[in-house]
Amino acid sequence: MTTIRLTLLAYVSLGGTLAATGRSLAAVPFCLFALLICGELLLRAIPGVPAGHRAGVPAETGVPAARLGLAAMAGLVTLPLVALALHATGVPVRVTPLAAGIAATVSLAAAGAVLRELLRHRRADVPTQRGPHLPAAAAAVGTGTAVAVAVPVVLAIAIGGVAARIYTDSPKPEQPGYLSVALNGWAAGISKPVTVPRRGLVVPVRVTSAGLDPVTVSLRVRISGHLVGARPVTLDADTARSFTIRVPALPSDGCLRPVRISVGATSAGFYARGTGKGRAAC
Amino acid sequence: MSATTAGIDAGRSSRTRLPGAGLLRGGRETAACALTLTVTAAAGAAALVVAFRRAEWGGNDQFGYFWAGMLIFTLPAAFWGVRRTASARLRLAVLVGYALFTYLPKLLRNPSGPLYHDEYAHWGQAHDILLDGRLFEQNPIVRVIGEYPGLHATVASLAALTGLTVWHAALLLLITTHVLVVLGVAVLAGQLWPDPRIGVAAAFVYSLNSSFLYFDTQLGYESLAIAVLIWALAGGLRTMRAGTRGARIGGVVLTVLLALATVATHHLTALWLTGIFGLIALACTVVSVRRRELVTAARTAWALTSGTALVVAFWMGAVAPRTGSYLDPYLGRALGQFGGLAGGSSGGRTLFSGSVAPWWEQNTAFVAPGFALLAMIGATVLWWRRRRSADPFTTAASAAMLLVGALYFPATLLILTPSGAEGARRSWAFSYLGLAVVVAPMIIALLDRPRRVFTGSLLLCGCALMLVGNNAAGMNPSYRFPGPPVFGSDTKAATPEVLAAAAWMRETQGRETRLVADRYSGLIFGSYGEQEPTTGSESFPTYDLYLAQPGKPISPALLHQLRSWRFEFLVVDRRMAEQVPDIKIYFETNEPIPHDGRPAFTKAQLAKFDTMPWLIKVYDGPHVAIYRFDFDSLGAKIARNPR
Repeated sequence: MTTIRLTLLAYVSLGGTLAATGRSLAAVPFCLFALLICGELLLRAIPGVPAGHRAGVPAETGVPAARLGLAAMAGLVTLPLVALALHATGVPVRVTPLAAGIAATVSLAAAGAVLRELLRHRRADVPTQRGPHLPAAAAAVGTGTAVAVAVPVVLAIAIGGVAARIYTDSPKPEQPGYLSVALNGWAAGISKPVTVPRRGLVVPVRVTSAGLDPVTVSLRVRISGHLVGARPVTLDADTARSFTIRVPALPSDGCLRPVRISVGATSAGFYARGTGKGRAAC
Repeated sequence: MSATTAGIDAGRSSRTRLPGAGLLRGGRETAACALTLTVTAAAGAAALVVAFRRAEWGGNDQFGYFWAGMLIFTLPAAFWGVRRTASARLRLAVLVGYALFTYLPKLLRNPSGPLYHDEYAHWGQAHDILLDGRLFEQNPIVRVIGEYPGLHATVASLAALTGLTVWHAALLLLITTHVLVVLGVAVLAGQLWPDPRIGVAAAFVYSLNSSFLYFDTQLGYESLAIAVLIWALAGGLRTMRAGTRGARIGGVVLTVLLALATVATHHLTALWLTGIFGLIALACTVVSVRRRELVTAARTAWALTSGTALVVAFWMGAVAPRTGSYLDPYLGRALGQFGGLAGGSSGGRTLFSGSVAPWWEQNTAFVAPGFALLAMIGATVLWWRRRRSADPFTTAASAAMLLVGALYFPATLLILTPSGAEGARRSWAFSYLGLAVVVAPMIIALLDRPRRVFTGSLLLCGCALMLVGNNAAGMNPSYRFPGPPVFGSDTKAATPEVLAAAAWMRETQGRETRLVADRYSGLIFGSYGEQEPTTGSESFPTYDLYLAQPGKPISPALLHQLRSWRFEFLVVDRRMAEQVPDIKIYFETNEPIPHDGRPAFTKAQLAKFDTMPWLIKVYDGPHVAIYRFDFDSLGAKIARNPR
């Protein structure tokens, strides 16, 4: 295929990728095809088309994927190289800059490839008609090669897909359940001792039960290890519930007191002091 | 005429004599191959599913099912791949099918998200690029990977362009690179020998290495980089053979571009690429001096080596200057420990200590290096015999690959040291490249001799043994198979409790807060939780927080570090006081913590945080607690009475 046609195909594939954004099943083949063509154009532009098989010298004819594989690799590394170029120019790695970067690479590679082909034709004194053509042997992918790649890919998707689906859908052993308690709302942001006003303090907490049967447990509040409040709470299986607990006013002695909120064996808490600036020995 | 060339000519002549019959036979052969491999692939996949399900439910016969599933497909695939009468396209189809089938174990291991230690780090890094669009951000789980953004940029770009999730984009990339690795090895060998069967044999031999099934299929930077390395080498060899100056210059430019992509992805792979090019250049130079041949090839090889070395040196010097200090301790400590072992001191590793792998798998792990040694000796003898008759470039380049392959053997000794084991395992994926490329001609030469059915059967048995043994030596069963929850295993770190704690943290405290954690909590908080955990190091010994006895002071220097580096949270997994970690690590590989078969912490050591006024317990579960640091309250006194 001519370089010009390949270049147009690359733009169309890239456009298709952008048009299919959000529909992965359509975007993936467009994107992979665009990268493969970009790689092929890079190969045409940089090392050029191989001059053909020389007698006695090993060549890639034994495994016809040599050209296709190198084009795929060149296309694949375009992504990180474009991302690095975007980073170097201070542009974030996002869809539009990436697509623009790949399009620029395609354009540059196509220009390089056309220039190289023109120079080669001029040196060989071959008349160019309807644009430069590549030798048939250097065509990127023949139909037979495409079939040789596509058949195992389709079979692998079918067999591997079914195997993976059976495995992921099969019943799994139960994971261990848990009951957790956490400071919630404003209390989740407590970063220093809290001053409890004279009217007391309402503290939100969140209790989560997962993988356990419905259970009724006691929600307790302790200050310096002494129980100051308790009430039973019922937790259904796999639920997270929010509660509030009330911390009573603390002495105005300026001393820190640990406040512990416990559900069963688990507990969260913080340190608090009363209002005022008492100087009692703590 | 060499046996290898004779094989090709025999195939050609049969087709020339009877073109119609050859075509018909070719069609039948293709159909038979397709049918055989489709049926065996289905059977193999079924056996793999059974193996994983058995392992999941705590069975102990998963190993048998697994290897039966693998071998039922791989052995016929190898047979069809190296069959003399197979067409080039049939070989290509077999190689693609083989590569895709050998990705299935890893796909089944974790089809829906990261699971291995490094996968959490790389997944998190790619996820962050997708969210923020920025490269070179520091990663909290593996510090150095932020400076090698090739993999993460590729995954994030694919995810952005296609709308796939980060994990699915990663799977797409990894499956593609796995296929490219297999094809690349065949193409690489094809640059040296004209018989395409040698290329196919090289691909199969390479796939026996311990990294092929699990390590280089994971979401890790080596998985992408090694594919680029193989194709850079193939491109490099092609360039050295190029007939025109323009083609050589273009080839050097393309190879240097691939080298840039390699070094932007993975440090070790880039070093191996430079080293292999250097060895090829050296070998070509020796031949050019002794035989007055290969002068141009030697010059091209040196140009490739210099170009690659310059790119690698620039990256490691200017972009990732911390790489040396990241890699150096592993090598230095490994050599020190190896010296100690040689001197008779203790401190080595006992292989398969406490492993659940069956006896036969463990035994094959010990036999596999011996078998590889035999193969290398055979390959060396063959190289020596053919050194004058073969193409001079093939002689020189295969000598270099012999040297690369020979590096496999010293690395097997490093596996006996705790610090060297990891490095030794990681080197095998590279040294096996040399081994595969030089052993493959010997395999084909053996198959071209009389009694090839017997020889072929023997070779297939040897390959099966090496496949089993290398994987047993290279990957822990907990990485290879699912299983019941176990404390202290990277692959079983994602328990519902830890995942919920990490989710609570992200929801209530936001992203990217700095926290102190153990290795396993750190993996989950650093990936799914999107936080920045540290698990400690020699210069930042955060494990001293946990080790401090109740009532004893914590190092002021450590507290100063935590405060000045704005660490906000401490995560405590109380199972550290109840159980010994499955992989014998609490925080990091070289932690100064005793491993004597008992938990290294007491319950009091971990419960002491509940009574420290500078730690606010914001979250608690049956095992995992989260505390917020309040350094302003250091030294504050607590009242003993509530009123």
